[in-house]
Amino acid sequence: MSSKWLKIIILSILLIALTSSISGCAYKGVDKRSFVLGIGVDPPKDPGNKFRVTLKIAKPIPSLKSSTENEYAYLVHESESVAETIRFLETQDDKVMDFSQTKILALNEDLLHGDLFSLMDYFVRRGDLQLVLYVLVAKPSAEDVLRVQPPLESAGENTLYNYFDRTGTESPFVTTTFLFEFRRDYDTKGQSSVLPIVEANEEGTQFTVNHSIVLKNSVEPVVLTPTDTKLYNSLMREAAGYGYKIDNDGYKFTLAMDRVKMKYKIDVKNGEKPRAIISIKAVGVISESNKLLKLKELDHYSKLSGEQFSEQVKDLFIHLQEKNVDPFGFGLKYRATRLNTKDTLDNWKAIYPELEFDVKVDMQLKSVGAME
Amino acid sequence: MSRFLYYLIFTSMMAIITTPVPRILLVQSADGAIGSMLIGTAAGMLFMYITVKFFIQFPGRDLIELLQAYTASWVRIPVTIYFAFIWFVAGAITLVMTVFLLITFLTPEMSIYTITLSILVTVFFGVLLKSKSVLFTLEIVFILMVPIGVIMFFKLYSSSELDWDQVSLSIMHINQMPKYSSLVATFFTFLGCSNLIIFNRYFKEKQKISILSLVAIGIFGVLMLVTSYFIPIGLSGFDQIDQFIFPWTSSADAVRMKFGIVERVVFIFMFLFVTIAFVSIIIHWHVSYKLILSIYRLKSLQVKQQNLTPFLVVLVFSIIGLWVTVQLTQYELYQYTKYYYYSLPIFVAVFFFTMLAIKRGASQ
Repeated sequence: MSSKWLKIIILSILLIALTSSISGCAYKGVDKRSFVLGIGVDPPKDPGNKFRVTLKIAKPIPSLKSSTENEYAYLVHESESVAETIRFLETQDDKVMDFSQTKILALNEDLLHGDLFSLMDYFVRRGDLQLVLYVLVAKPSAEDVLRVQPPLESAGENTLYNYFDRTGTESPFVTTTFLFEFRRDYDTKGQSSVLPIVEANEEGTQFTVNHSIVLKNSVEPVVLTPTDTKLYNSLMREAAGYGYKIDNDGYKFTLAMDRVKMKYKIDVKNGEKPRAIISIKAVGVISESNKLLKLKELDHYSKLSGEQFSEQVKDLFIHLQEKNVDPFGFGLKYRATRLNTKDTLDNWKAIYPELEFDVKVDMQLKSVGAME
Repeated sequence: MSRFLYYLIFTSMMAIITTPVPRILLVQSADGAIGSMLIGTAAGMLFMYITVKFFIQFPGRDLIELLQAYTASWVRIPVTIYFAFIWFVAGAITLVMTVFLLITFLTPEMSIYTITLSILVTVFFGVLLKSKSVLFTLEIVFILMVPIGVIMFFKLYSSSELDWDQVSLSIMHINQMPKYSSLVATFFTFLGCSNLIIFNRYFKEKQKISILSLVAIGIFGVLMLVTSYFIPIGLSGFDQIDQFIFPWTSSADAVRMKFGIVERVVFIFMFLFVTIAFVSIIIHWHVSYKLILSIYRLKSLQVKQQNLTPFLVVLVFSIIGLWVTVQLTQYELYQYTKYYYYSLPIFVAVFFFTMLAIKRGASQ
């Protein structure tokens, strides 16, 4: 009897002692946190500083029924480093800043020249920032992009999230790059990273996301046109959708792709020019045409489209090769398919400018749409 | 083989993710890690086969009992103390690593004392359980965690962000000389069966070790090694993988479930592996505590029928654990853990020597 009571007493003392540790812990309620949704980095206005950081902070809404739109607060400061700026901005906010929900990292285009190490370091070193946040390049400035409030944005949602997470719009023009992906591709020898460019209009009411930019520490950034962005997205990110223009043999089609798959290998033989053998399988339908189409000639249309498509792809490869960037990872493929020696990288650096592209497209058009 | 033995082996294989093993392997990814993993796996499997085979001969008797029956006390006492130390350190490494993991990714503002204490309180009672209850705890945790683990692995391997070119790039570095530190780190993965030195007491029936069970254990071990090595490379890239302090957690953060309960898979990952780490600490410290008690019980701590020495031992464990966690820096943790792994061959030698001594004693 007595030992049972002793146990109960010891246990209760322990539990009471434990409750004191809970009160001292770092867990703060939601009402004492302000959630940072986006971080923007711009070049400074004052030349003595290095970065100008904008934080977009969500203002809590009481309920979805009573509010019609989101309200945000913006905090802006300039200083020597990103970390220092954010520490300073914490003094302008009465609540603890919570970066665990941050989904947008907007970088100004002017910051992208040269090595990005000092810019990106803070974001990957800080453990509580998500590595699945969306990195984007902002035009005209990161601050402007964060400040955009589209009229279509309803309470409780964020337009920029919808662009990139593929639950809202699924356009082949939108490149989605996560922070970890950006870092991986940027640091991998034989690959370059691609970031989407988000443009805000002058009134601050609308975004346009259809360009992208290729980055590598050793070379100048290369901006891809909307057509090239779309090609890149369908080949590398398996994005599909409308808008592939074909103009061949008097026909003008617009194709809608269901799926596009690319496989490639690097073929280096002695005495021959190094070649990249690329085979693409594309399945789609014709969604617009300048002439009446015959169902039985579908194979012919497939052939016409395939020819044109392979030309477009090849032009893109050559364009990127001339600029010495490699977003498709040919270099990585080369390194990944032969046993590593200490010359592998140097060999590749010599091969890439000479590489010839051998593009084979297997285009399968499944239908001409609802009418001939 | 009893299913509990599988749990012991599998848990220690899964628990390597919350030890510095993945980082030790990944730091040498361009420098012979794959070759070391192959040799380490073979050595580990051999060690496991010999150990299990040995304990099968003595059903229902643990090492303490065998040592007392068949060896002189000048062998018994140093060996027991050495094993107690080795097992305590193994638990402490997992503890420190888990705390560092939590403080970096989950609660950067929380005090290190609070985090460590909240782990130690659970571990304290876990260690004091009967050995049989520890095995049951292990079984419950294992069964609860397996579905989460399966989802997690499915998510990791099927994620479209996993770059298989990076993985194959790392395989292309197979033509390097194996390195000692990766080799012993791999070997550590397969040491789960050595917990038999205490738990063999509960395996009373005569058991058999079949080819099939060896193959199952081998496949599981290789799968865990492959996962802990190639997944971080595929997600975070080969060229800079050695820059990550927690390669696994940083890589798990790269996977997301668009329509899942939580978007960031890293939280499921943390839940899974912190739980496994808990059980792993409990098992290691339980073995260590049993070994210490087999040598010495303080008479002065006798209160009625209850001897309080077990409480004292585990309290000392916890205090040392807390002190070590607060004192160590990340660099020191990795460095000391490496030294610990370097010393594993000595452990194997002592282990086999003890087994030989027992066998000789038993045959006389």
